[in-house]
Amino acid sequence: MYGGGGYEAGASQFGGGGFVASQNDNDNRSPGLKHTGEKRAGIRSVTIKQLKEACDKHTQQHEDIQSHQNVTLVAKVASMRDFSSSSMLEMMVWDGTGSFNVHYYIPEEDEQTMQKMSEWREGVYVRVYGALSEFEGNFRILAFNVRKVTDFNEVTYHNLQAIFQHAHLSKGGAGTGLLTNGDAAPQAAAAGPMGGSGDGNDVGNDGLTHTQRQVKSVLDSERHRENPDGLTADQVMAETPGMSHQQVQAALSVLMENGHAYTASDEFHYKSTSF
Amino acid sequence: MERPAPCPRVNFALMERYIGQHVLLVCKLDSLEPQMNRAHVVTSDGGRVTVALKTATFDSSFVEFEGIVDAPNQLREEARCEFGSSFDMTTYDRLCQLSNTDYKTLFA
Repeated sequence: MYGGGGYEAGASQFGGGGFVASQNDNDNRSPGLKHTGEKRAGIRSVTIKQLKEACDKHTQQHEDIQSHQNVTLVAKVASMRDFSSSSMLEMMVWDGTGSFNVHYYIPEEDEQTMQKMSEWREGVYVRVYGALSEFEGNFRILAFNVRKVTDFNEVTYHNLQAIFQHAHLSKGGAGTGLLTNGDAAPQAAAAGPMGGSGDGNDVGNDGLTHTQRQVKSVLDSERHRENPDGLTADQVMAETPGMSHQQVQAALSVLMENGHAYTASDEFHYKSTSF
Repeated sequence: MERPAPCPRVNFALMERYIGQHVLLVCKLDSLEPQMNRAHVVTSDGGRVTVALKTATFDSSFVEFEGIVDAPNQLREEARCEFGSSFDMTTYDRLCQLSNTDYKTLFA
């Protein structure tokens, strides 16, 4: 579910504002970062040490991280608080550079969600996508997606991505701080087996198969941007000739899982996170 | 549980810098001495290390040990995460080097 720099480049192009904002809206205790200005669209790969330094008002380091809407990290679950009687799951994650709190609002207690959450145990590596926010005087990541890491090359990949983005920004790369496919390509090539050819069902350098990419391009298309409800799988299928409902649904699930899409008006309508 | 930090990612060449400290060592299992609770492993840069284990059973050949460096070629296991049967050690070794040199400030 990853594949060289391109994947994060793709992910880094989404604003995610509406999605994350809606989660923040449900949490009145979360005022967000007070001392940052307008946040940049995009997702930033970080180590926990970078996050902690970004949150430390005295060091004022890594301001570029605070200025990003979303961050992603790969870390081990160090501890979890029982979530059986709460709609919010709290976990402490650790990546060797430090520990950080992650809060995740349980969207719905269906079997699939509970199954996914049962995999998050102490000692398990997880990929967290979320936004930095302040909670009772401490910073945390308000996660909009957490998934268990199953291919451990992702640990290598994530940390190299954090280095790459830091180097790119500190050396005065593109002013937006976002990676492009072109920027990421050398790293993807260096990553060797972590990249792919992008043909057929192979995972390409953007971390997606051809099918998933087609579905994403429908969600990303200009004509659907203004539609607040999002698209159903059937509507996507109508624009992807030759693709079965099952294929579209599977692709949508993967796009959701990796932060490229989210459900909008209800659980059957999907929108792209790219705008 | 408070976890040690920093806990640098190391290869064989870097281990000697961290004697007495917590590190993360990703390695490939070479051989086991179950009676002695020891494993002989190969690190990402091809070095050979002996790991004092907590338990001598493994389900995969690549393992990330969290442990304390007792000697340049000896590690005492504190915890482990099994990385499966396929892992790109060459790229991981590059990460070990970068995270302990040019980009150390991001990690420790």
